[in-house]
Amino acid sequence: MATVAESTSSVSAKSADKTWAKPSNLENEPRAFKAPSKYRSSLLNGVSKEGPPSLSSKKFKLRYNSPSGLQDAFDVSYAYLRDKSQELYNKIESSNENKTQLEIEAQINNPEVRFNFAYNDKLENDPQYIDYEQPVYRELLKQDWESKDQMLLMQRLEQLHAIPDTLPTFEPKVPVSLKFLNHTTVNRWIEPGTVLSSNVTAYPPSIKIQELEQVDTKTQLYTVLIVNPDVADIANNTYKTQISWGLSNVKLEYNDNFITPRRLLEDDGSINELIDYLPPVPEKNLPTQRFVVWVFRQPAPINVKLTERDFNIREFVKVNSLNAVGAHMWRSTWDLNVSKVRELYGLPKGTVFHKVRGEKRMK
Amino acid sequence: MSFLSSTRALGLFKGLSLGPVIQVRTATKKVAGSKTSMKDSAGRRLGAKAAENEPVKTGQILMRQRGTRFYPGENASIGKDHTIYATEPGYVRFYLDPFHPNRKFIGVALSPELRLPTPHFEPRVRRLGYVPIEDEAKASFEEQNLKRKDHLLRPTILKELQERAAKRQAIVEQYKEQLKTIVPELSDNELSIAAERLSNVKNHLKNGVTLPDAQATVTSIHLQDLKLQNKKGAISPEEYETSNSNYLSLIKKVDSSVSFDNKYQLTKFLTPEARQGKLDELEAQLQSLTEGKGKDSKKQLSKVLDMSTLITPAEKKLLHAKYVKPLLPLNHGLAKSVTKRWNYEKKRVEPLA
Amino acid sequence: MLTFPIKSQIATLSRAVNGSTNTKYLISSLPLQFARGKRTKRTVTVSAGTQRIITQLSVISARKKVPRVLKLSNEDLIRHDTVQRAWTLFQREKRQQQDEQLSKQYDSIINALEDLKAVAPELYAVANKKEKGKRFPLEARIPVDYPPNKIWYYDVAKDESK
Repeated sequence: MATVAESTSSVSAKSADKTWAKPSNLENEPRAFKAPSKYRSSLLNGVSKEGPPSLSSKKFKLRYNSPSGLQDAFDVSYAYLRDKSQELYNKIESSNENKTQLEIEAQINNPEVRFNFAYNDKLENDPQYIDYEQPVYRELLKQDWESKDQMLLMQRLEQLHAIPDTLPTFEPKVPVSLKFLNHTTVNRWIEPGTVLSSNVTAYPPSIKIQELEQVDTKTQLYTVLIVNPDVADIANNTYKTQISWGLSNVKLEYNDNFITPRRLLEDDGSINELIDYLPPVPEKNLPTQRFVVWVFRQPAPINVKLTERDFNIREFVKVNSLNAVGAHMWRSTWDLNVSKVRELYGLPKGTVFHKVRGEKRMK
Repeated sequence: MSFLSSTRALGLFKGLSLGPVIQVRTATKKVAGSKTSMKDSAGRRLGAKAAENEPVKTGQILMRQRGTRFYPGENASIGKDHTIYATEPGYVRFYLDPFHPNRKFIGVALSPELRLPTPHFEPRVRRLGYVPIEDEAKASFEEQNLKRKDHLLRPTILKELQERAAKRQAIVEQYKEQLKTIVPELSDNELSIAAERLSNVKNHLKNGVTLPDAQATVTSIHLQDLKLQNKKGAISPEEYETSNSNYLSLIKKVDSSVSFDNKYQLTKFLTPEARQGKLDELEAQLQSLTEGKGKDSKKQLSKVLDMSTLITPAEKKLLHAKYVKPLLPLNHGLAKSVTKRWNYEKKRVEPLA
Repeated sequence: MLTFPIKSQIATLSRAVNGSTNTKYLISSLPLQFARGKRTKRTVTVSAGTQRIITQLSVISARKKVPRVLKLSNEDLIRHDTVQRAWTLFQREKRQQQDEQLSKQYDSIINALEDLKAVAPELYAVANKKEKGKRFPLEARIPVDYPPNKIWYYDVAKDESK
């Protein structure tokens, strides 16, 4: 690396206009590779005398001082990283192998890209700033997800025994987020494992599935299954698994991947509802029920309709050779709203159990 | 008597230079100390209390031990003196677990043919144990039985729910009245359906959902309800079909003739272009008002903005900043007089030298 | 009767304690302090006792133990991050180059010895002959920026006194 002294000659020229490396055959650079114009100048050329635009108060703007020497170090670093990036783009042009990885590496050090990703909503993304069509943003999201949410999901799945009670094991590849849009009070993203009131879950959830890997979004289909492994099987003195909702043949874009009521209404019949939604209606005095949302990549379209609620998810996965890529879960327990939900769905009255467990052995 | 102390022995070792001879006389009488160390308690009756494959009940002790010679396995637990006991009725199993190679486990298999440990990737075998209450009166009593906190909270919740329902009903009635003037051709039934729908849409809008999303969510809930009514036989399939299509045509009509203003009151539908036109008109009015100077003009401007039912809060803020309290840009007049900077040492803003 | 300087001192003390400038009521409520000693020129705003408490509190305060947080704006945080990323990338490349060079050197030594083995086995044997007692010279040292004036003490003798 050139020392600061060596580079000062070229700094003045550089700081005037900084543009990141790009492939030579590219005409229109993606919008998401540019920081918003409000911040761009102070991000690339240093915070001006008026203060950083990211601070809203005039007082703090005036008080703010950049660390001394950051300007010179940044200019040199920017030039160095840009040159490296240009080398990578040249490499992509000369050979076509490992293209996605090289594209990621060419943009991941771009301060504008990092700025966009750091200070914009990652979940409800605006493609103007965070465009998941670009592999670099998917990579950044992957890093962000793996740093917390993925671990949290796995903790909940394992500690609440969703694994192995539903599927044997699981390697999460795709972030799945859940929201109950029908409900106007609990209108937030649900953390995996939350216990929800039956009032909230009376209508189907909306599921956001953010694909991270390079797939063909035109052809790749997904299956979503919601299973409840805690249905009382009184005859056998055990529990059985039922399916609450199932969708197959769902197509997802990188930026448009939220399965909402609107999307299901406007759908042209491509999405196959395996079975209609049965809301959680837990029985009085039984332990909390788990509702595990599984997301699979399908190798081929699935056009079957399920008639039975009793469901063997392992067999279904095996028969359709599904590949589990994402998961989520929530829990439900008996509350005073359950009877209303049962009435709405025309379900029989719920069984009431003794508080104390009996001593009858399993067969 | 010591060996070295005898004169005969001394004679034997005459030729050797032993140095001074020390006479040692060991104790032959017991002095004290035996009483305490002779204590021994009775046996603690440790050991296995249930054999392999023996049927056991919940809470039955399987092993008494000092320390954890055995660990509790599936459906077993451990007490504070390391006693292992069953937590489910079943059949005792002594087993090893490959995940803990140095431990021995005692567990309870729920049925006689099951072996422990349960294979790692297989679903857990779980006993339900809970028994339904057969007597209907008892069952309904149990269903009504709430926890103390819930019981105490219930009247407040019910009251609040009633209040909320009343408020909702009032809004629906209000919307009905407004709808009558905006879309006069609606029948009474249609009117109530449309008002109900609009009040639901309003609730979603208030949560920050976009209008198309809110409308779609409300539509899907209504259609789902119809479907469920059909399914449980409350309406016949023909009725279902007609009400489904009626609803769809109704919402098409309503959504294209009604808009919400910024206070969630119903107004005539505005196309985006028409809305823009009205916005332009408003801006022109504001512009004309700014020409007068002084406090009165500012007051008038604020009043116009407050009275407008067209603009969103964000637009209002923008217009306020533009006309009522125009902020000079930050760099206004700064080029000449960048005079103040933050002094790090003295921690205050100082004029530049 | 209070002399003027003492009076003013108490007033300032009370001001420091109560945050008030109205001395009229406060003087009577405070215990009188007749502290003797050399008066310094420093303008005392708090009494010695208060100052001691302030010092003690400041010593045990958590803020003193934690380095002050660097306050960077969003833009500067990203700029700082960019500098760090460039530096790690640069170091990584340098390390890779060094490793590559070393492995090349090692390979060429091996190749040369292989050739020697094929061409002149007796020379190869001599080159690889084990010499008893031959060790890496202790005098050979890593070149440093500031070598000592005397590199090696040849006549070092065991200290008999120990």
